[in-house]
Amino acid sequence: MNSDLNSLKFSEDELDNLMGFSPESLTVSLCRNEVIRQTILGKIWGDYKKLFSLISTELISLFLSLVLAGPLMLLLLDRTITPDVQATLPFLLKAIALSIVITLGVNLGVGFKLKPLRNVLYLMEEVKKYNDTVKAVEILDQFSKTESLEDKLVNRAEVIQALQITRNSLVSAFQTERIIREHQDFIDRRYELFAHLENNLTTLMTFNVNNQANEYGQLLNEALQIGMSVHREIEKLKQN
Amino acid sequence: MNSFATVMTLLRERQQFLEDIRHGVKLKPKLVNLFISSSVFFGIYGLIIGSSSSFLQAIFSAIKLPALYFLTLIICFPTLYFLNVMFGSKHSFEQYLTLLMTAMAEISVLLLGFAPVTFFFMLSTQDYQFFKLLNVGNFALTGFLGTKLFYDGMQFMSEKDADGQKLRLNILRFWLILYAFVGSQLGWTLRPFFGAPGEPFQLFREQDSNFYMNVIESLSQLFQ
Repeated sequence: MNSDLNSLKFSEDELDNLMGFSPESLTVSLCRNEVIRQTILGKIWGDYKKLFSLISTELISLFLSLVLAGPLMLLLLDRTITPDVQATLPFLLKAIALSIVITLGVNLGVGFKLKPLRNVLYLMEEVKKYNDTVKAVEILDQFSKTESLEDKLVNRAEVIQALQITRNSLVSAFQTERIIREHQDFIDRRYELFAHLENNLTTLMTFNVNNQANEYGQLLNEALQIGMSVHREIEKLKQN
Repeated sequence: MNSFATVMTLLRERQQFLEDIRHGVKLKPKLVNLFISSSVFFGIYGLIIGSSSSFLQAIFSAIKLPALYFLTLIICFPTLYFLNVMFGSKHSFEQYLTLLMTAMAEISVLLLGFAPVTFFFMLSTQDYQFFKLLNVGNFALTGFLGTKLFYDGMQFMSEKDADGQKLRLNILRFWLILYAFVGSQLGWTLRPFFGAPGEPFQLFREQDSNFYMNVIESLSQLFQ
């Protein structure tokens, strides 16, 4: 990967720092999990592929709950170890009931934990789109090496600039969200960050995206869309 | 998936993984991911050995096999932790548990590696005693390798914890024997995992004899 693209991409450690949760907490892992994130944001309904991922995750949760419920039942509640099928049936039913309770409990727990963090989840989604765009530029660079078209290189510089501004906007958005989350009452720095974001948006709007004929033009447009969407989210935060 | 990526990191960069455990880096996510992936791997192996008998047996073996390993862990872990803490260890509950889960994940990966061999013999032989002994061999070998890695991991953790190190090493040796006894006897208690040919499905069997007597009986039947 080119060094300019390498520095544009968000690394996992950088995201951990930006989210501002303790690396020891499970919240970071939950926020990173795409299926969980999109379920909380309500983005899976109607998309069969994502729905399938959710159902698979739920089935694995139920399986894990059964693995846990069996030993718990044997140790704490019911020590029925007998070859008599009639006698083991209640044990089995209790174990299944316990595993359903565990699965529901875990689902509710994850929901309660992540619902207040919708903004972080939203920003993580935008980061994913952003990283995908950087990856697309990288692939396009590899294609360009074989074609050597000058106009493409001109457009590339614009894409890199737009991505850099979008990156700054995302970082500012994470910082704003974190400040609001950690200090709900009074935030001085918030206005400074909002001003920074406004500037970024103005710069992004000045890019000429009329010429989308080539691939770099489309990527530039994508970078702009991410920037605008981050801005909209921050506007929502401001209103709240 | 993240859980399986954690196991891959463990396999590829074991030293770094152990270093992380020693310094207490991201232990909770590691614990959860190791639990998920090892349960799935044990479950797959359970499904294969259970399918030698019936569909119902396959489903229950897929749940019983991971449950067997975790029940053994739940029973034996407090002995390991409290004895170590009592004799000078400075490591936390989470560190010990993560290290033990690491060994568990390694055993599950090794078993998964043996799964195609087991599946092949399941299809190519009808001899119940042979299939049973083959699996006892697999469990013994993977268990031995897993506990060997755990032993090495414990020594690595104790390197900078010199106070009472020698005594803790002896405790660890004693604990590994205990772990093997509890595991094998619990496996016997929770059987069947294979399901004897011609017999109806059972969740559990009669609590007679013991694991070691049964292995000797199977060996004598096989070589008759």
